[in-house]
Amino acid sequence: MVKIGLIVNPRAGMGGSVGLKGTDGDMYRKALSLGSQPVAPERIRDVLARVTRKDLYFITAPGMMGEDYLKDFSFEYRVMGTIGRETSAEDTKRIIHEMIEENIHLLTFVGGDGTARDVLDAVGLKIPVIAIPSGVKMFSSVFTFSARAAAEMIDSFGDAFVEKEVLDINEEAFADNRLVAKLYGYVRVPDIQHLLQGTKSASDVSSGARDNKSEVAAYIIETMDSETVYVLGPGTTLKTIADALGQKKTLLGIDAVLDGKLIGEDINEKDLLLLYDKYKKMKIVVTPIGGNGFILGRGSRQISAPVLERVGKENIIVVSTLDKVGALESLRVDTGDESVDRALSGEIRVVIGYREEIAMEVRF
Amino acid sequence: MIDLSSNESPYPPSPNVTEALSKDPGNLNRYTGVDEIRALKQSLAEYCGSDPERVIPGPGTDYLLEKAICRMSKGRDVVVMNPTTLRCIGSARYVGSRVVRKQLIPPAFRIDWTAFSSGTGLFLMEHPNNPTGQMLISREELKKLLKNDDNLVIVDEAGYEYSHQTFADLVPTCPNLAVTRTLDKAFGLAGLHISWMIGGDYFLKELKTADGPISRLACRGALAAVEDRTYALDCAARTVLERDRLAGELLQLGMEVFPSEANFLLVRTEQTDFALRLKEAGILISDLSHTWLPNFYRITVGTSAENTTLVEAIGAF
Repeated sequence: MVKIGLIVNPRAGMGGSVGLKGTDGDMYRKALSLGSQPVAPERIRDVLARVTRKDLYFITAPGMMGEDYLKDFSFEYRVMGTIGRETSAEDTKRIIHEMIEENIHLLTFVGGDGTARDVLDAVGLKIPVIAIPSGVKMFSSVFTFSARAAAEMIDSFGDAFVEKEVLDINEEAFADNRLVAKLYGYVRVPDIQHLLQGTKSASDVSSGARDNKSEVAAYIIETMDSETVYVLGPGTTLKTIADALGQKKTLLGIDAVLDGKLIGEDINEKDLLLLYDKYKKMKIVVTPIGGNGFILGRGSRQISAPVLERVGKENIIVVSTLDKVGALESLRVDTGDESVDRALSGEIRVVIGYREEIAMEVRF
Repeated sequence: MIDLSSNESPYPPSPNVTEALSKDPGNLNRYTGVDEIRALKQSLAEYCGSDPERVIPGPGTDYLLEKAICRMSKGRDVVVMNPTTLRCIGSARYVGSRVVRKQLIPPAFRIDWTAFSSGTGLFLMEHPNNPTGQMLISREELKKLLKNDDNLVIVDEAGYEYSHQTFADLVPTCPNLAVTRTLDKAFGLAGLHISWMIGGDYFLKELKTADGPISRLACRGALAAVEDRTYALDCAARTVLERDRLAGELLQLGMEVFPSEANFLLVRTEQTDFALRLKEAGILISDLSHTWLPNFYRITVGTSAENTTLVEAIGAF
């Protein structure tokens, strides 16, 4: 049997749908107060339901950090360690240390960048990991593309591993709409590159790229309909559009514009649904994340599957600079709802300049 | 410095060209005469088996494509591949046309042309494709695309002398098709920069008066080169042999080498700063990472000695 450690950060990703930039520290309580529901349990159940490999023996943490999900499936497993009512990074590290003493072959974890750093602290390069994305911020390249990719990786990993980056996101700067990231370290992951999302690269801020963004903004604004709500996703390309309209824009949040005026700032899923119900005509403008190509499902969880179901693929406008999108084989979506992901897949046009587009494939 | 970055021929043009250009040029105070252009059209038509009336010469392929974009793309999407080496597409904005790029994905670089069959486009495609090296469209796919009368297609066959594949024979029966060729590559005349279009009826109607400004010297050199076409075709055959040898040796060095029907190879390698290290070794190649996927490079096939130097340099990394 292959011994696999499984540890879930039950808080991971909870901030996304309520417009928070993470669940670290006080933001977790704020997410709870805003009515956010845990998303990691659903994510790990989705993965486990897809795993077909029969030679696995799981070593897992108690309760909501692992046991609660494994018991719903037919895998053999054993529970290790103890946790309190509220889980912490220390729980993650302590239990992983205990798992290592049990000679696990590989550790699977569910979380975001914060969890990845805790895992790295505990395993270093000793034990390879499979990182299942469920955070708000997943800027590190260790994560698999999706639940399906994670299951496929669990099913097919062998003895070939590569080192991938774990990033340290400056939380204060992130809350202040600035992306400041530095390399935190490396962990080993199965060498199945096409299942990994790749590192998000910082947007090019050279003058050429800026000029191109201005062209994109001019084109989008010229084609705007005054009765349609335009939802502007995170990113510098989107901020250029708001700047050209003379409106304020949160760099990492979601904002809404109607007839050239800001009608929603740093809005969450609930706000988006209310806006849709009120105006009925809505277009969502997003930009791919450089390096991995995600247009939905990473950093913009507020634009949730229910929102996308209502708006439809035909009302999604993707914008980018050619240097960013041209470096991608495809765009990616991972909304957490496979039927929505499927509806979004296939060819989509990305606006890369004034009356200039590139046809890209969307995969999920 | 060995320059393997620009898809030029590594061989000089035919001795006929050197001889023609060294003669007294005469009348350089006068523009190129109609008779000279007519002789050039006749010669180019004869070389490619076309009616001289369908031949539109110009100073480089981008000149001809730019004319087509400016005069014929209004109300159409200008469709090109990504990456593309065509520099003329920026002209589309001046006539209000939209440029649509189609991202090419390795390893097959396949395009679903049926997706375009119902649209209205001016398609600019390279055959073989640059920088990937393969044919992106089959004869049947092209015929289907041309069935839609609103589509206009220009196939650039700059690499014809290496691939020996052409759609020029379809031009007389397909009014919405044009083929472009050049003397820049196998004929070794990049410095004179002479290209020509073999135009279907729609193209002739709009571009008949688009004959480009070709200098008397360029005209004379072109005539001499085409007259000695055997020399150019021999050079192309040597390049093809060298291309296949180079591909084999790069593969042995652990590089990913894509099939090519042109005078260059598309390669992928994870080696850090690959192009920069070659430059330090005195060899220039084309780094596509900035406009396309990372770790892709285009290497023009050089002379046997140049290719050997390249292989040795990579082997020493």
